[in-house]
Amino acid sequence: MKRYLLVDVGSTTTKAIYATISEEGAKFLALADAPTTVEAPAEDVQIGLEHALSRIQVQLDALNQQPSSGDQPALVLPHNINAVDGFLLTSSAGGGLQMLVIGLVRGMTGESAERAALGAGGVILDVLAQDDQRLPFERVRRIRELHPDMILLAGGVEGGAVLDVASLAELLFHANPESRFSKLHKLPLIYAGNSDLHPYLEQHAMGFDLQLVPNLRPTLDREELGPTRRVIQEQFMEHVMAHAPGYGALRERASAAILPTPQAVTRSVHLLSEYRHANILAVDIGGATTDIFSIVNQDMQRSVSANLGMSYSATNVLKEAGVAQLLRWLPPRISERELRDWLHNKMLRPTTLPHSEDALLVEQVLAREALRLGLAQHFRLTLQLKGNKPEGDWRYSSDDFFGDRQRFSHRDIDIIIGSGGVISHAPQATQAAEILIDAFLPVGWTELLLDRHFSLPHIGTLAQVDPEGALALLLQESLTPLGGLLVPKGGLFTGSQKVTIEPDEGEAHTYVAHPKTLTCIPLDPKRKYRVTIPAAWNMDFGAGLWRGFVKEGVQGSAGLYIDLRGRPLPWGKDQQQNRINSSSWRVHLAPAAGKGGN
Amino acid sequence: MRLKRVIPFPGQVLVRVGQEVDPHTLIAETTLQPEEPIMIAVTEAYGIPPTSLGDLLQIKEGDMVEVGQPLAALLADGNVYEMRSPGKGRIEQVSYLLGTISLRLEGDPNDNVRVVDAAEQLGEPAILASQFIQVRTGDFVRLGQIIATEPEREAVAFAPMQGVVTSVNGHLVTIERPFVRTQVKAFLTGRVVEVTPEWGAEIESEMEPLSGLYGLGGESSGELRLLVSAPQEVAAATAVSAQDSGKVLVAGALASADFLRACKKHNIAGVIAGGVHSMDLVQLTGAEIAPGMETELTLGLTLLLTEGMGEIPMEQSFFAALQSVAGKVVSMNGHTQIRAGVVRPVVYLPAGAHMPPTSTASDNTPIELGNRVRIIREPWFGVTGIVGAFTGPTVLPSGITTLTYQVATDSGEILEVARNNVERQGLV
Repeated sequence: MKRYLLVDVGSTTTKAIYATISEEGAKFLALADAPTTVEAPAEDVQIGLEHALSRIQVQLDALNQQPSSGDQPALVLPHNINAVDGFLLTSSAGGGLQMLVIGLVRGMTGESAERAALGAGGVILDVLAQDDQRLPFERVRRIRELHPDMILLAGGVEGGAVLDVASLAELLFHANPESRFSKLHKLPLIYAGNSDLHPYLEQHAMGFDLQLVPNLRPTLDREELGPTRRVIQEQFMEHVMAHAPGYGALRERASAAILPTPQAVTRSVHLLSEYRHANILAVDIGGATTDIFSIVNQDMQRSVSANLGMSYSATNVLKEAGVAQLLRWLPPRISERELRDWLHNKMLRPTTLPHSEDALLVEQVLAREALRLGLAQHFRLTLQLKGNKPEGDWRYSSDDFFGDRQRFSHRDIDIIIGSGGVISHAPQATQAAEILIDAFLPVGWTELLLDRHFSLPHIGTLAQVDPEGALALLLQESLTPLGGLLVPKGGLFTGSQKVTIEPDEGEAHTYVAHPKTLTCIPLDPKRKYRVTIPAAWNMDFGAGLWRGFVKEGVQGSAGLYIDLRGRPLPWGKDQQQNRINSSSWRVHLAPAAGKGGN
Repeated sequence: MRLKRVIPFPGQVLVRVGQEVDPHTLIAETTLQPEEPIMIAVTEAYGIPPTSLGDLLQIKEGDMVEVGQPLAALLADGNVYEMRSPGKGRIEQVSYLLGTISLRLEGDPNDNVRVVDAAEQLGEPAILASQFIQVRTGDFVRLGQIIATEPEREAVAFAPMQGVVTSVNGHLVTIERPFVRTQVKAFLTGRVVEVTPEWGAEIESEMEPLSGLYGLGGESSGELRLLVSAPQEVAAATAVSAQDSGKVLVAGALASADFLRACKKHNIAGVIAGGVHSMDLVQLTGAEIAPGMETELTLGLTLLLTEGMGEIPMEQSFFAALQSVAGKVVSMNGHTQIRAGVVRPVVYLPAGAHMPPTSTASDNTPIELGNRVRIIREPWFGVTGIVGAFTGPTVLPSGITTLTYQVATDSGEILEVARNNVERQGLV
C-alpha cells in the first residue's frame, strides 16, 4: 500500500487529503481544511498546513480505533511527514503566481505569451502590447502599479521585429517595477521573443533576473509554449515560492516540486483525457475568478476570467451579462431590486450562505451566467493563431487570415467536469448538473462529472511521482458522475422522443421527453445503465441523422437528461414571458416503479 | 495618525513644518498638465542613430524648460543646429533607445485658447482657405499636427498647441485646452510634520478613522449632522435643506433615491447611511456598478455605507460614534476596492469621538455563547441578538446543510442562522 499526503495551499483555505492506494483500490482516507496563513499576523503557510494536518490526524486516529479498519492507516503527525510515501503540494496562496505579460502585437505574440503564462498556472495581471491603445506613459504607470511575481516579455518572430520589442523592454526598465513579496531580490524577467534581442537584454536588463528562452512564436504559424512554461514553473519554485512566507522550509519537506494550483489541475484533466480518449471541458468557479480548462484533440488550453465569480465578482457578472440575462432564469416573484441588492451584498459579504430557496436560486443563476461568459472568454482566448494560413490552402480569405477562428465548439465536448462551491456544494445533484447544462449548452452526448472535494489539484501534483496512483484516485474518489446529457444535433424538435434505460441489474423502462423541455430521468446512482433511443425523424443524437442511439455504462446521481429545448435556447423578446417559460422548461420525471414507465 | 499628502507631478508646496491645517488647507499644487506628455523625436529629426542622443542633449530628466529653450544641439559643417522646446514644462523622460525626449507641458490659465488663421499660414485668400482645413469641431489635435494642407503649393498649417477643436469658422480654427490646476488639500485637521519639496507634506492628526463597508466618491469633509435619532430610522428627502450645503449628513438605515437627489441639489459634501438600494445607485450614476473594478463612478457627493445594499439599520456602535461628534467637522473618503488589496471607505472623526471597541470589518475573534451578534444576510439582515446555542449540521430552507447558531433576537424571537451569516458585534 502507498500512502500520500496531498495538500493544496489555496488563497483562503489549505486543503489536505490523506490518500492510500492499494490493490483493493484507491481511497481518500481523510480530508481536512484550515485557513491559509500566508498573510499577517501568521505570515507562514506552515501554520495553516499544520492545522489541517492535525485535523487529518484526528480522523486517522478515529479510523485506527475502528476494529474493521483493516489495513492500519499510518499515523501522520504534522512533524512526521516521513510516515508517508509522498508529501506533495500545490499552491495558489497569496493570489497565486501573478504575472505581467508583454507582447508586441496583442493578437499575436501578446496572445501567445498570455497562453503560455496561463498554461503554466499564472494569474495574468495585465497584458501590455504596442497596440493596446495605451500611451507609453500609461504603460509605465501600469507597470509601476502592479507588483508581479514575474514578467514574461515576448515579441517578434525569429529574424523579425527588434526595435519595437526593444522599446517595450525599455519601457519596462524605465518603470523599474518591484516584486510583490520582497523588494530585495531581483524580479524574474523571462524573455521569449526574437532572439536577435538577446545581446541588448543581457546588457540592459541588469535590474532583473533575466531568463532567455527560445522564442514562443518562432514563426507566425508556429507556437512553441513548452519551453516558456517550463521556465515559468522553475522560476515559480526558485523565486516566488522561496520568498513567499513559509515556503522555503515547505519546499525542503515536499517530495516533488510545488506546482501552481492551476497547473496541477491541468495535469489531472490530462490524465483523464488520455485514459478516456475524450475531449474534456473542466471548470472551477470561485468567488472572484472562473478557470476553464479544455483538452480537445490533445490540445490543452486554459483561460482565467479574472472578473467572473460568485462573490467578489458577482456584480461584475451582472454588469457584463446584463440584468435581463439573469432575470430571464428567475421566476417573476423575484424583483430586479431584490436581485441587485442580493448580488451586491454577496460581493460585500462573500462568505455568507443563501438561507432561502430564492437566494439559492439567485446564486445558481449567477453561476450559469458567469460560466456562460467564462466559456465565451475561453473561446476568445483560445482562438487559432492569427496571421497565418494552413500551407497550400487556397480557400482562406483575408478574413480567415486575420479573423477569429475557434479551436473547438460546443459540439466537440465529450465530458464536462464541474468544480467550485456553487456546483460542488449544490444541495441537489440535479441543480449542479443543470447549471453546467444551461451554461455550456453542449450538443450530442455529454457526460457530466463533479469534482466534489476540489481534489483535482491534489491529483495533479501526485501525478508527478505516481501517475497510475493518481489516475486510480481520480476515477475512484475524486470525480463523481452526475449523469449524461443527450441533445439532438439538428432538426425541428417538434416531436416527443422515447428513451429506454436498462440498468445492469433489473428491468428496462421507457420514458418520453417532450419538445421545449429539459427532461431529467432519475438514475439509481449505484447502477450503470444502457440508454437506447430509437431512430427519429430528422434527429441526430450522435450516431447520424435519422439513426438511433445507444450508450452503455451511463451512471450518475443527477440522472439522464434529454434536452429538446433547441440550440440556442428559445428565448423570446418578452422578458416577462421568458421568466415564465424558463421555469417551465425543467421536467423531473419520477423514478419508475415496478414495470413499465411514464 | 500621520497622512502623506502629495501631488502626482512636481509643483509648489504651500505649507511649512509646524503649520496648523484644517481639511481645506491647500498643501501643494502644480500647473503641469495631467494629459499625455509631448514626445519629441530628436535623433529622427537630425537623421542620426538614436544612440547618439547623449552627445546632443542640453537638458536632463527632471529639468524645467521654457518655450524655445534648446533641448539638443548638433554641430555639423561648422553650424550649430538647435532643437528648441515647443512649450514650457518639465522633461519627464529621455529615451536613449528611441532617441526621444518626453516633455510634460505646464498649463497657463491665461493661454488656453488659440485661434489659427489657416489663410495666413497657407498663404491663401481667406475665402479659399476654408476648403483646405482638415479638422472638424470636436477633434483632438496634438501640438504640431497638420490641420490644413494646400496640396498644390504643399503649404500646411500646424496646431500651435494640443487640445480640442472647439470651432471651425471659415478660415479660423479655434483650439482649446482645459487648464488643470492639480491641488492637494490637508483633508484632516492637524499639523504639518514634514515637507517634501515640490511634492507635498505629511500631516499629523488626532482624527481617528472608522471604516465602512462600501462607498462611492472621493475625499470630502464638512460639519456632521445627524438627520435621525436612531440607527434603524430612515431620513426623509425633505429633511435636507439649503442650510446643509457642504455638510456631511447621517441618513440612518437607508439613503433613498429621493434623499440622494435632494443631497445633490443642495450640494451636500457627504452622506453616511446603513444601506442604499443598488438599483437606485445604478439609476443615479447612470452606469452599472461593479465595485472593485471601477471607482470613478460618482454621485456628486461622497457616500459611505456601513452595512450594504437595502434598508439595513446602521451598526449601533458606529452610529453612537457619529452621534458623539455631531456638529463637528469630519473628513471622509468613499473610495472602495473589494479585491486586490481591499480598500474600504472611511470617515475620520475628530479627537474625543466615542470610537467602537472593535471594528467589525477586521474582527476575526471566534463567536462564543452569549456574544452579541448581527445577522448579515437576508431574510433577517441587520437583526441583532444573543447567541443562545451552537447547533450541529442543519438543513436551511435553501437545502444547504451547514452549522448554525440559535440567536435570541432583541424582539424575543429565536432564529436558526447559518454561522457564516452572522458577525460579532463590537458591543457586548
